[in-house]
Amino acid sequence: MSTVAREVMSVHVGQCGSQVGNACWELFCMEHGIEPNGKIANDNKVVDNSFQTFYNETAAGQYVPRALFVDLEPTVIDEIRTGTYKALYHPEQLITGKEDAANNYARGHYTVGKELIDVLLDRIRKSAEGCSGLQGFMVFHSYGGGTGSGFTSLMLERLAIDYGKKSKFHLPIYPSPEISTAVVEPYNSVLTTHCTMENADCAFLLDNTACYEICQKNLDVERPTYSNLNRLIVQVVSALTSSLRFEGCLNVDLCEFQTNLVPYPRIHFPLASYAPILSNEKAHHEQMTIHEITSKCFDRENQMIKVDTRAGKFMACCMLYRGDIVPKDINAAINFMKNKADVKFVDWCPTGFKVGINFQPTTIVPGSEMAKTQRSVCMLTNTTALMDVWSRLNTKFDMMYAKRAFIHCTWERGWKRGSSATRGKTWPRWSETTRRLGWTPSLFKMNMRKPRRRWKKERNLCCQVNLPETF
Amino acid sequence: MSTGTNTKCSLMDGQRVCCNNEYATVRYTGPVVGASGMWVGLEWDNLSRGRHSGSYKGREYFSVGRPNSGSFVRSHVVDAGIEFIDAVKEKYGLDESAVNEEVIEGIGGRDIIVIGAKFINKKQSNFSESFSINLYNMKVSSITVNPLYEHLLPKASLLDLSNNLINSWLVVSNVTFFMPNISTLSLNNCRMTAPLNDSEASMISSCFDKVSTLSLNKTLINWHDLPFVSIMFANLRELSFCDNSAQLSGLPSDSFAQLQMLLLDFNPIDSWDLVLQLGRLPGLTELYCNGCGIPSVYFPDSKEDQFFPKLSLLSLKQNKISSLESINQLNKLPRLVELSLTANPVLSLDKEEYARMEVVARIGGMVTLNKTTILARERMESEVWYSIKYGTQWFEAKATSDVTEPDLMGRFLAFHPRYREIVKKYGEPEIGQLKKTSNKLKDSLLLVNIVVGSIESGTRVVSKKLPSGTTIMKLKIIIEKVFRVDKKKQLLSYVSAGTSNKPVLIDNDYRSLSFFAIDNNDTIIVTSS
Repeated sequence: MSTVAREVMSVHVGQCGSQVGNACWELFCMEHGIEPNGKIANDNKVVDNSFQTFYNETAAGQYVPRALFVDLEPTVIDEIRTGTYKALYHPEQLITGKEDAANNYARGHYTVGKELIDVLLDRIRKSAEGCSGLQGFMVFHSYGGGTGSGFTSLMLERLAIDYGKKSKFHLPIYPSPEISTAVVEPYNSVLTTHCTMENADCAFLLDNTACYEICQKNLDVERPTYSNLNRLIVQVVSALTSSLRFEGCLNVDLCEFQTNLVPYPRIHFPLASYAPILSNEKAHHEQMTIHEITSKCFDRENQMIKVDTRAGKFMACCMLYRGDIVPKDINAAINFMKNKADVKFVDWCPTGFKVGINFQPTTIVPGSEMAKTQRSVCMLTNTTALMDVWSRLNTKFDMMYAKRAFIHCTWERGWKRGSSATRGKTWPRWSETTRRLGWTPSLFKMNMRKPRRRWKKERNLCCQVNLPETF
Repeated sequence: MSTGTNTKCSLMDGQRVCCNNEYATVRYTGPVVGASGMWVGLEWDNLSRGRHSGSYKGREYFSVGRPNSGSFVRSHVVDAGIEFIDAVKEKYGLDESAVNEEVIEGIGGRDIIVIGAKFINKKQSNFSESFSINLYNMKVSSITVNPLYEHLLPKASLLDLSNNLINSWLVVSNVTFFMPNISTLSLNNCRMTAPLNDSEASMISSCFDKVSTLSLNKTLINWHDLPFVSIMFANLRELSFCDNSAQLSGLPSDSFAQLQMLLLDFNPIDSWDLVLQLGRLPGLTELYCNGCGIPSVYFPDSKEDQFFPKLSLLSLKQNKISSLESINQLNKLPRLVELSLTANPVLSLDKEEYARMEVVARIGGMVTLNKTTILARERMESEVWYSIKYGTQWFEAKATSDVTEPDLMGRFLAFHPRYREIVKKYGEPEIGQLKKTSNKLKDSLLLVNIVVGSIESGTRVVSKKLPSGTTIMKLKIIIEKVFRVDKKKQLLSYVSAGTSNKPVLIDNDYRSLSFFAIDNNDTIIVTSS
């Protein structure tokens, strides 16, 4: 691979995005043998240039991540500026404001966000100009925070204008059902999903509760902290992007995800699950065969978001195997999967399974509770069961909005009440529109008697619904 | 599924074979009286396949380790396994038929597209670049040196031969002919027979001097054969010896000199004495004894320096440790920083958070408990809570130590060895903190004496137990019922117990007894207006 096109730029927004980003680049550096100062260790020769999709090579032989960290307040990013990897990033990659968004979407999007957006876009432009063939963006953020929701949606709107054709992938942290850090999370989540629905191509939802439970059950950690969760999340991210960073067959790319996993532009939320997740001692005496890791993927316990897939049907599925796996084993695993009775596909979507293999095994950061395994699999499914996830969010939104609770925060900060007649009207209709968007049961439980006609009608409905403008 | 050349004469006693996906050991080959032809007597790994213990129609042909695990089969169903090099080629060798995008008829009527098979196969078949070889469940039974393939896998450092048919260490040592740089070797589920003596072991050891990680789970190797393992693998850093039904006993003093990590999960270790003998291993830093049935932990005081001098991680999950005394003993380990105690009865003695605080307070140097770091604040809170919890006993012991029971202090300190240290750090607990407040309603009732007229007039005194939150309105209703004084005409006042103060007027009907500071044994005087 001599010329490296297909560069990917990652943007980490807010506290959540920055902390996940820190863990992410730490892992990527370990996988590629890049030291904290950006240089490759002397004894590793650069055999495979594929990692330059994520790293920029400078004239001094240093490899700088193609990433931008942005937050409206400086504390979190200051920790990166003074942490182990401070020499890895260029100072211009770490963008901070002075006053944070205080869990307020309107502050993140309008008041405080608008000060910083131009700086960010300028840096993105500079970075993009240095790329020979920018493939797209990966955005890490949370749904519940102010910066993660408001600023991200602002950024995506602007990116859609400047870089319309590039893919934009999200890794949002969905507000978990049990562990909630802010009361207004439902508002922030719904608003940001609405605004990014048009602009994002694919969003791999991740949920804190699911990750907590994985840490407690599989890794035996009594009280997981955010750093435990982040290390788990970045293993999934690493599996997703491994085909881009290591030499492999082209078809298991990030762009291919779009083609395979997203049947309609609005239904772009695949569910990720990862196996095996084992603590160090279990890895020594549990043999992880391909059958076992494949079946664990279908287990509810290994999913990155809390949802019951048996309640829904699959629209598309992608399995990414990594490590010491031979194609013969894959065939055996596929035969095993065939016997899984609870995998049902919807009949209005023609896609099926895609299975890819990558040669490079996983690496783990030293001090991590997860054990290094010789083979692993990450499964991405677009399943109708995710409707559950959105309806949970909708109910919470409705409950709060019915009482107009906490609305004044957002109204005071960003929207001037009554500044436009439509604005006042469209907010209450928002919950209605989310239902019309395609998250209704009717879309998924098709009328079996006349499938084709109904399918077309529903497809048109979800593709062409004219959404009201942003507030 | 190659059957090799297994005529009955090539099967040897003790050879490991596979028969219909079940593993067994050959114990007998030859005729059987009462049945025609030649038979092979097998001892099955899986007890349910066995029919008898080696005898048929009264004649005994072979003996088995476990009763009812033997049976006779025909030689043609017995699979003696394949050669190592054949297994490697079968799994990783170049597959001409591989394609990069293969469509397979799949699940629910949908196709499964497998991508990258040819690319991966090409990469993996380049043996000079392979770094790990996994031959799990491939029925490898022999590894013969073949000069054609010397150093076939020069960069391969990991070899997994689990679930195969190898049974001899000599055979395993031939692996280094193909893989000179092997550093991680896994032989789980292979029933190995021990080398005969030390010299044979040391002959093999020259091959394995680079091996630093060895995995021997479920191999049923006896503990007293471990010294041979130690001779063969002189530079071993990590040893996994789980689920071997091993009865631990002592080890010679020079064995496993370099061993840093030892896993003994799921071995039936019923007593800590057996584990204690491992304390002599000089380099041991991590010890895992999960699920072993250990009832308690202790370290002898006198020679404490010699036991587990470098141990920093100890994992004792799913054992039967039930007494806090074991926790105290763990404090004696000088370098212990990480401990795992989940699923032990000792953690269910109290509520979950309290149990954790108790363990944190009792072991001073610990940094990580149950894989969660103990922050400085948590340590402080736990130690202060601990000092308050046992504060009354401490004061009792102090008070009586010189006078009546000098032993009480000694016994207290024996059960709370860190108490003195904690008191020095934070000071003694406040007396006020030690008072136990009862939440029961019974205990918060006030006893009041109600008298009509005046105290001296000698009329009957009625004592009632009332909650301190009773309003005066209710009190008046009670008095009306008892003394039949109309509540609208009642004038109440009270005198504090044991004093001869002037009665204090109770004027507000809507306040409670506690508002007027009416305490236990006070007298309420009722006069009518």
